[in-house]
Parts: sequence; C-alpha cells; structure tokens
Amino acid sequence: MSKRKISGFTLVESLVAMVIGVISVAAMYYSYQFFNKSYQGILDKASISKSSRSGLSQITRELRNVGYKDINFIHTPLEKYLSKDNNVSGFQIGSDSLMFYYDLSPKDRIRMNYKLKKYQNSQDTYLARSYVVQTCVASNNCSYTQSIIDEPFVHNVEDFQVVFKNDKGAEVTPVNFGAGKSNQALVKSIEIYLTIRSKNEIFKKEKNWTIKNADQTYAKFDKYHRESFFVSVYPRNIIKN
Amino acid sequence: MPKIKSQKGLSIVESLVCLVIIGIGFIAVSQLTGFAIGSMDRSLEKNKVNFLSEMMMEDMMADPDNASNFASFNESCSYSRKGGSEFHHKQKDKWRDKLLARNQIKVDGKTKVPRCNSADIKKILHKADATRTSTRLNFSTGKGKNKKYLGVVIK
Repeated sequence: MSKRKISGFTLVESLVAMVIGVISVAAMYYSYQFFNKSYQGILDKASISKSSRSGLSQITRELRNVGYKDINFIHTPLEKYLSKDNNVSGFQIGSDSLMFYYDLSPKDRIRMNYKLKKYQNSQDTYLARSYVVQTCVASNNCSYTQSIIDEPFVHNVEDFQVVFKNDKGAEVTPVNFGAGKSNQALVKSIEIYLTIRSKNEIFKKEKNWTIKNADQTYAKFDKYHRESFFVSVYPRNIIKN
Repeated sequence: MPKIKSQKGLSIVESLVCLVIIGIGFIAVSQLTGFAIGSMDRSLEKNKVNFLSEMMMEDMMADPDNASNFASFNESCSYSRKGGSEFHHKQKDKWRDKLLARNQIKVDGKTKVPRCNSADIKKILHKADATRTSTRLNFSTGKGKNKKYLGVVIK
C-alpha cells in the first residue's frame, strides 16, 4: 500500500481565511443593520404620508358640511355650529380643539370634535376624533349615539392648529358657542395645520427643529422626523343670517 | 484503495477579487435605499401639493366674483411675494407662501423647501361666458413631465 501525502492548509492560509471570513461576517452584520434602519425610516415616512392623506381628507370632507341646516329638521334649527378652543390644557404648545355641527337629514344632526390627546403613560400625542349623532323622532324626542370618545384618528400628531379667516382674509376670533357666536357666520375659510412626527427615531444624530404653524412656534431637539401639512376649506354651507 | 486526485481550488487572489465584486454589488444595493428614501420624500411633497391645490380651488370658489383676478397666478419656483392691497392679491401671496412652505419647518437652522424645477409650473386659467365661470389649475411636477389639471365651475 502506497501512502500519498495529502497536503492540507498551512497555518498561515487558514489564519488568512479566518480573517477574511470574520471581515465578511462583520460586513454582513453592519449591512443588515444599515438596511434594517433605512427600511424603518422609509416605513415611518410612508406612514406619515398615509396618515396625513387619510386624516386630512376626512377632516376636509366633514368641514365642508359645517353649518349645513336641513330646513325640515324637526328639532330646533342649527344655531351653534362652529367653535374653536385655543390652548387645550396639558400640552406644551397651544394646540386647538375644533368642534362643529351639521345636519345629516331632517332627523339626524352630528357633532364632530377634533383635538390632541396624550397617549396613556406617554408624553406623545395623537389627533383624537369623536362624534355624537342626535336622532330625533319628534321635536321633543331625541336620542344620542356616541362614538368611542377620543379614539386615535391620526397617530403621533404633535400640533393641530385651526385658523378661521373672513372674506377679507383677516383672522376671525373668537369663534365659539358663547361670546363668539356671532362670529360663526363670518368664517369664509378654515385653515388646518397638522404636524406629524415619525413613530421611531430615524436619524443618527439629534437635529434642531423649529416648527411654525399659524402663530404657534415650538422647538424640538431629537432624532425624530417631522412633516407639516396645511389645507384650507371653504365652508360653503355657512350662510350669513 | 482509490487514488485521491488532487483538486484545484480557488487561489487567494481569485477569492479576494470575488469578494471585491460582491462588495461593489453591496454598494449598489445601499444606493438603492437612498433612492427609496428620496422617492418617499417626493411622494410626501406631492401629497402636500395635493392639499395645496385643494386650498387654491376652495379659495377661488369662496370668491367667485373675482375669479378672473386669480388667472394672473403663474409660478414656477421663485414664489416671491407680489404684494397688493386687494383680497385676491393677499390670497395669491398666501398661496405662494404655502407652496414654498415659507417659515414652516426649520431643521438645524435651514428651512425645508420643496424641490422644484423651472419646468414645474403652477398656473391658473380662467374662462367666463354668459352662462358660467370656470377656472382651471395646471400643475406640472417632475421637471414638467407630470401634468395635472384640476377644474371647477364656480358660478
């Protein structure tokens, strides 16, 4: 039996192979981290885009109906229909609360409310939407159906501002059901500002943010991404008395 | 006993060249994510412009008697305020401010401005006859390649 010499790897060869192997594994690890992080960033931006689109289009659709009076409404005619509260308490900035009414049919009337709310056990805020439908079968016989109170409508909203403008482009204030009742009919344009923050921190370093919506300015220093959206609505159903 | 044939493997130079080629491939893929982030930003900007075009249509509907005055609106990228005392002057300046996102968000001292090419035009057209008044909004984005028209009969 003849013995052949089988040559394996030398020590140097195997050491070099190990070093190359370790380097390529490390490269894979870092590229995995990099791709994962940028994928997260893209997802967060996509969710900002999506929630702004669905949220703002719903608000504008509803706001176009504000003050719609069904002349056959069997209960008292609509007199209070548009109101804004400045500086909702408990927030770092003066975010607004918007409330408005319109008739759905001769029997039904709806009250919408949009405002910022804090998540439980968190300083983060969301835009809450709630409504109450008043259904009347006779002038003195009405029942109420309520939505879930303050359900999250748009997540991670940092600022929600509402500005009413008259037919000269000047701000109308106050507009509410009390002292500002007569101002309701002067509103010709309703401007909505919405600032949405990304759900996760997506930047490596902290950035200095200054956000201005209407007359409210606030600043942040963190790793989140933010986008501001603006839309305005012509409330065509508000008629001067 | 069978003979063990000597086999030729890869030389170290060959395997290193192979690694370099794979590395170049990785760089190409990492550029892809940058492109994805950029297109996400563009989509967000288009989203905002959609809301702004709604604003312009609604503002014209709110002021139907002066619709012809809005027809002079024709902007590409400068959005410089023109001034004026009349209501439609103010409205048009408001549109310019909003389209440029003037004073909205500052990051590290820099104002965020939507990207714009001189072929990206925002223009109002107006048509009126005895029976009706209508306006149209022409939007060009993506270096003028994507055109969007929004029309409304306001009176």
